[in-house]
Amino acid sequence: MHGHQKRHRHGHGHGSPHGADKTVILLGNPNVGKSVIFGLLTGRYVTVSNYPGTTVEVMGGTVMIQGEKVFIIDTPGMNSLIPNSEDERVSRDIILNEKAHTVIQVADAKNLRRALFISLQLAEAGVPFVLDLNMNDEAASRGIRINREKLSVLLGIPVVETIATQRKGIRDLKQNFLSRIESTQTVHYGAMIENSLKAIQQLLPETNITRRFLALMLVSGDKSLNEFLLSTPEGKNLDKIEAIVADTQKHLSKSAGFLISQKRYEEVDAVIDAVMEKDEEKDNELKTKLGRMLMHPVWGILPVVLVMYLTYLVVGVFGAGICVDFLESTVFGEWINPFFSWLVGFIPVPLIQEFFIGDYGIITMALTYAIAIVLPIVGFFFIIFGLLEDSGYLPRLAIMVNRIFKVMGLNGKAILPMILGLGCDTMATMTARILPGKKERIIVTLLLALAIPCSAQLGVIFGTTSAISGTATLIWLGVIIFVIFTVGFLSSKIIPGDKSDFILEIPPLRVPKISNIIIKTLARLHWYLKEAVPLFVIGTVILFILYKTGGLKILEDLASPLVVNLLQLPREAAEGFIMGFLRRDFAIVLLAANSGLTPVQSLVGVVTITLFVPCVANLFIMIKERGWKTALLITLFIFAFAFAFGGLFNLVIRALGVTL
Amino acid sequence: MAEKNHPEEEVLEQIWMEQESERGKALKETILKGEHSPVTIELIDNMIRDGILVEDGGILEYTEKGLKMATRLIRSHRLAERLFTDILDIKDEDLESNACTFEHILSPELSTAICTLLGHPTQCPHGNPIPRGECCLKNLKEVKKVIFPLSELAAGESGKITYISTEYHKRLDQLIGLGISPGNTVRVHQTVPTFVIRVGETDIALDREICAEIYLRPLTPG
Repeated sequence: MHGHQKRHRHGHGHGSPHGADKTVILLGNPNVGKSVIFGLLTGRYVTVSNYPGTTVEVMGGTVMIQGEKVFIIDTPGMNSLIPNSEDERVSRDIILNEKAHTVIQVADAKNLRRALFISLQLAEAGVPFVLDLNMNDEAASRGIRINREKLSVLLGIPVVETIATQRKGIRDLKQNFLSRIESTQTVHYGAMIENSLKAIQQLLPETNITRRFLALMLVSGDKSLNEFLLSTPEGKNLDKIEAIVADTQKHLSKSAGFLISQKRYEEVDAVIDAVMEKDEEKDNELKTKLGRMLMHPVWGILPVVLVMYLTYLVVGVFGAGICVDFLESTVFGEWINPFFSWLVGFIPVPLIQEFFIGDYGIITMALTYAIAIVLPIVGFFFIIFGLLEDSGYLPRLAIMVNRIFKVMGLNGKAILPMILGLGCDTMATMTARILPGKKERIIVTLLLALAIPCSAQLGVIFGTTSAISGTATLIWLGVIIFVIFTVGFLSSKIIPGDKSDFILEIPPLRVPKISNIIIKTLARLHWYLKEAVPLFVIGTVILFILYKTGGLKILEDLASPLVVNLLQLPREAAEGFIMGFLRRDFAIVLLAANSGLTPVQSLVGVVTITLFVPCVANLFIMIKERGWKTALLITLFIFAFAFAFGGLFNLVIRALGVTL
Repeated sequence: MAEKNHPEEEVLEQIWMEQESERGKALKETILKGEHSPVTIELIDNMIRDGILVEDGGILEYTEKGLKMATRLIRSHRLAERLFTDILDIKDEDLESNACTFEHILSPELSTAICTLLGHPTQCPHGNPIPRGECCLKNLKEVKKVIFPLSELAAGESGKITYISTEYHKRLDQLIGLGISPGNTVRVHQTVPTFVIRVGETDIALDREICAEIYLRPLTPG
């Protein structure tokens, strides 16, 4: 390994590596309104990037405060500096690696206990910070009063109050923004732990946080630090450190991490007793009641259906119908494509002309598809998704489906990538990273590629099946759901690994902030344009080469016996199957173009194609996320399964003599 | 120390220890030497006069009354030790002195509660038997539980977390990060389709099997 210098401390000055004078980190528990505060501070001058090696979105923005250029980093929500998820790890690593001027801890005033648990850790880490008690209004409406001055004295740092959604207190926050005061709070963990902390401290490198806190993390059993330690010269001490940790644990009756947390809570509770008063429960808010109803085993089902229907209206009818129509036939069909045809006409070589504007041309096929068809669909989908996310509905949906998902070896958290898959399977496959277990990620990746149609495909599928009959649409839906559960169930039995815990915080329902939705949607579209569109171009190029070299014809010849004999479809349908690899919707369009198909043939074709094709972008992302071996296995399985199941479905539906 | 305030009880205890030792009996001269503090001959004589002890050829034995007192003491002491190790995490040197203080103040009702809370343990942390109490001898089913797993609570009920017993490190860290830790009050909102609880001001959904590892003392409503 040559990574020694990789994460070295950034010198001694206060300069920020982000082209600003200072760096300030925003952090806090999940759902405390951090992003809203970030938005108020930075306006629209924001960059969104994935933290290196992760899909975790980290926002950064530069702003002038007190005459200085300050770069603000908005970190993912965390509950402890000892990470339990990828999000938490990213936040912890930012604190560890960024040479920050100060940290702003945003706290949900009504959940002071959990916030102070983090404050205490920041104090121990020797990180200067300002505590911002946000959502004071919600706290007050629940009868919670916090003595801010006293809290400030006890912690030894500035404490400000804000109601970010009403822009209250932001000026106060800005005034304290660049204060750089470390908290004086400390905890004594008893002789046993203290002694091993002392021993470990001597073996640790100098970093942005105190050695004592690094040692505390290690004694608590945090293995995620090992990689970091190995990248420092002190990495050679790791064995010694692990021996001390193991020895300490032997002398304790409970896990050291638990004992340390207990001590911290004792300290936190002492502070809370001193600064907080709470009236008796006045928990009759309409919002609370509505929030409960959304999780109700019976009443909660109605909103699920309603949300799905609304999504269908916005994404399917408006996005995939009206907008796509306008972009494809008017914008691209009448303006862009003719313009490029004219422009390309100046190139004297026909082959190059065809490369840009032919049947498999980069402009006429790849870009038309990526921009005119997929972009509006995923765009509207991301808006809806952002609304669901920010309103707090998604966790409630996860609760509703948790038990059914258990059948597939998953838990409610997997609803997020699954729903996202209805927008774009490629992006959803990336999001599968939020699931903690490897087994779950593989199952979700498989189900997405196999049976979750993306929005582009969904539009055409509904178009085709409803042209046959309502019954056909219902049969299609039933069959696909059946496949999802059967394959999910079986793969949960075959794929090794443990299922992971379902522990999910449910934020209160909130009215989403439009500006926040816009920022998020734009960030996601930016991702789509940067990451997914090039894949469509690459796919088109491959197809173009295959077409020109006659490879396409060979593939069609190979596939046609299967299509003809097994599925009892006309030979030409084979083209659709191969094209579908590039454009998931196109396969069905081509299929539907076969005018001579009987309703049964159409339905068999649609079912098989729904299962058959992971698009080329989806395939690439599977390789990237799950590795060659898994991606190859999944792809082979899907090819075999789609044809086998399609053939079986054909037999059954013919044998039953279903009239469509 | 506790010994000075309860000399009679210390004698009763020492006799118990001697009987439990290899020797199998309590010699008067050993007791008089006293392991921790010397015992006066007057004290022993007083106890014999009060009908707590009898002396038979240099060997001290309990009367029926004495045996009852001694059993209660030893039981309280060892239950206290268990309580301290299992639930409160008090270690080694602190354990003994705390248990000594406790044994004298534990009422029989409290002993029963602790015994039930701990699931009627049979041995102290050092491996010595804990004398059975009435609560242990009665069928276990009849005993009124003091501590319940969260998974047994119904919607609307609440309780104070006493301990969390899980073998998964990560799970524990995660629960603690969310504020699910001993001493905190939990309220159950719903149990189907998924358990939803409120701790502090946070609503949390979690699997029933995780709820089964969180033990609490139910709070009676109102």
